[in-house]
Amino acid sequence: MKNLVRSFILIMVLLVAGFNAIPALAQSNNGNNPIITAVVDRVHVSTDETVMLTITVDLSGSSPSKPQLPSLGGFTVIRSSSGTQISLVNGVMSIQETYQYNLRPTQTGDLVIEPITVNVNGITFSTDPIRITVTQGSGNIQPVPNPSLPVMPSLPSFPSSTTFDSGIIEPGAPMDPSEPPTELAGQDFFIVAEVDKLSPYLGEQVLYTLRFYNAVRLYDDPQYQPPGFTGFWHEDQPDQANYSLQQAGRTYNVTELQTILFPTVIGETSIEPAEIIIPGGFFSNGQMLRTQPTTLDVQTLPQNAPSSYQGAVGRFDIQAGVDTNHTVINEPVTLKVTISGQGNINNLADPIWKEGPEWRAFDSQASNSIQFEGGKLAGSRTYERILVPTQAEILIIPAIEFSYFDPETSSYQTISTQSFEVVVESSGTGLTSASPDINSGSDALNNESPNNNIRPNKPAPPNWIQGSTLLTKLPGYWLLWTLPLFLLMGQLGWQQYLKRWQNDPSQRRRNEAAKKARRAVRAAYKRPAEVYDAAGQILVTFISEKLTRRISGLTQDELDELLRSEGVAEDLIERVQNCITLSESGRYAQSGENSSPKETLRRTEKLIMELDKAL
Amino acid sequence: MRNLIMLAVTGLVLIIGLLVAINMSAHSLEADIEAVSIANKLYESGQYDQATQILEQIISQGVQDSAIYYNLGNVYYKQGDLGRAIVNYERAALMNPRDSDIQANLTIVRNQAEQSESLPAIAAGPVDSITRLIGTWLSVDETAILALSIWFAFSLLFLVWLQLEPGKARTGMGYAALMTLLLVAVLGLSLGNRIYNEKVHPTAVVVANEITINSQPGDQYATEYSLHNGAEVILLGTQGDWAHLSTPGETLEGWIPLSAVEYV
Repeated sequence: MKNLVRSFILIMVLLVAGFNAIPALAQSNNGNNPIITAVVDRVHVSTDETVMLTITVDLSGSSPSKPQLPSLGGFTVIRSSSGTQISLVNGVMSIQETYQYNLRPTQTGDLVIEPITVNVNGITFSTDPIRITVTQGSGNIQPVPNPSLPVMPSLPSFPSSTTFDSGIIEPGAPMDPSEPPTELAGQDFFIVAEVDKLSPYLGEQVLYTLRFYNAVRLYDDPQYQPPGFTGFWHEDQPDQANYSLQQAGRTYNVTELQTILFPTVIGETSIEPAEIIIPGGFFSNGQMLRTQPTTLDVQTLPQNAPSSYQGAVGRFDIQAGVDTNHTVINEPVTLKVTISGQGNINNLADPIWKEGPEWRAFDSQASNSIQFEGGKLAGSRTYERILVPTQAEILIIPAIEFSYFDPETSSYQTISTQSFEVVVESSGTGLTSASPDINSGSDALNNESPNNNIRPNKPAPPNWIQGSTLLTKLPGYWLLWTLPLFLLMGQLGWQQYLKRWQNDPSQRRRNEAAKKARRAVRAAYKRPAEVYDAAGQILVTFISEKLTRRISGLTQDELDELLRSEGVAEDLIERVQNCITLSESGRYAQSGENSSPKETLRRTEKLIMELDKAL
Repeated sequence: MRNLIMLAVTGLVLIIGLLVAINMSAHSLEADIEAVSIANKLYESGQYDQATQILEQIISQGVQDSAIYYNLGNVYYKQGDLGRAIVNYERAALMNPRDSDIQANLTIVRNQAEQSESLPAIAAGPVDSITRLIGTWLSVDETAILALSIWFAFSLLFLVWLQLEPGKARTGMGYAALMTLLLVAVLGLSLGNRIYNEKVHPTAVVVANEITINSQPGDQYATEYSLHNGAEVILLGTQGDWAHLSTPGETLEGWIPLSAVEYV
């Protein structure tokens, strides 16, 4: 039997350990990572500047809800964006969702961003509060920086060559690309970097061009290390230009890389050197070419920015339209807004939507389209906003205003869409169904075959689960696997106890002595005439059973000594003796000479309880 | 009598433990019926972009519901985006594997995407076969609850067996305990295998129209092989913006841009 129990415990331990090991192994990468972190790009700002708040939520081991921003007293959110990063390292996938908020301070002083919370499976995780010191600015509001993280461009492919020569360091200065630089005097390699503007406005686009001149064949592709572009947001022109030119009697292959920069700080700002590493060959060493830093003097934007201005610099247009002017309650209208033009399209702040409570709006998913046109970044940003009317009347979708700073005219411009009137009826046919039968053939796919008819949509369930996580990812679930182990130990302990109980009558008497004594006291209450006698008897019997020996024949001193040897306190021993004495004298004394019978029994009961603890 | 009470207490504790496990991960709340209804109306009227927008927004709020993923799969299918349709049907099937609508639509879309069958496990063996079989009937959470329940049942049977005097009842109880132990082992292995595969070899679906498989992470390493929209693959790793993957049966292995796949 013992062997069997041991085997059972071993099986339990092995199974529980095995089952715990698998998820622990699979989830080992996210054990110590915090679920949510929040950082800001600066803690000292002026009212002209913005703060980038980046919240990162680890989705690897759970499915948290969207982070809850606290009340941002002293700040206004002027732009937000989010993105998901998936990585698989050493066979373990991790997913992080990043939310970025551009905050503009609206008051000076020490401001606090209260803890940001995220709910994971009913448990709330929060960040630490963030303190930001805001000082009074000059009134020149800076454009909102691009929230995207700087990206290292991929290495371009350069023509090959066979020999290596010295490189030249070249200061950045605008030059005609069709003309070779004057410093190019017959070297094998040469690089030069230039910008098209040396005094741009804050947020105005600047074209940065790097040219690599190569007159020899290379063994391997050179490696391009672009500048960090600190103080700029940048967009790389994906296509490189290649052409040839003659200089100093040699033919040079020229590779041209362009990057659009958007200054984000005012004053003198340097573009760090760009580097090109030429790999070594069998008979020669590699070498590194480096440009000189280029310094720009970034101008502040003029004051008197309109209230709807949110930092756009360039030249833009705005257009909007609705898909229908006639609908019924709860049937949606799609508002499409497109902002197009030249400037930092990816960095445009979302328009301020002004629909009232008569519309239920679903967040728009903006889509960007950008292209390089003659050294400029241009494109459009389109929002499709679904608006569901909640009232049957003629409703207005308000005009949308958009302001930008035009660096060509050095002035602010405000453009706006028209407002839209939508007739909403309480009932009607509503939307004209393009495919009332969802299995009809009007789909993007050719679904004419009956076998291709997909089954229809499902209605919403009455309840759904939000922010749930797999049970197997919860430590509590795996702890439950150990529950039988504890129950088995409890069972075995109980069996042992019962066994001892049954095999040892004296031990049983000892354990039950107090209970028996209390029962006797309760019985004595019903016989007041015999109280004093009973009290002494009950006490003596209790002590005898507790010590598993007879004490009725002992003298007072012997009983004292016995109790003392059992560790009973002197005070308690004295009270035992008093009780026995009282019992004996009470039998012979006149009524009223001693304490009342009830009081005597109460004292005796208390004494038994104290002795039960002491023995 | 005392033994009987102790066993009853043990059973009660195990049942409470099971109820705790069942309620551990579920946090249900009232569904936004209006939003789903609007999305369904948009779907029925052929306004698939808008329907997608609403359903994606619901999901972005942390909602985990098989019906929402199923509906989103339908919308993507109607838009001709077989890859995203498969991804969302697969997600729905993970939550509700016994739903015949999900399985039917998944089969149709897979057929159209020339993905005739679901992915086999990387190294198909008996454990993988059992895992797949159980996976067609039970979600991960359901398997976890069932395994725990049988584990508890085995523990209780064993404790009863300990109390019984030698005889037929005790022998029968012993066999029952052994059977449950066997079931625990099968379910436990299947569960562990499933967790391991989903974590270490997650499945993904190609959502780009057609994408060339590269031998290395980089555009310059293009090969003559390509994957079509809706192809189901196993993610082996990532490097920068590139995903390392293998195709069913490990017939092909290579790299494609990470943005061209969505993991299930």
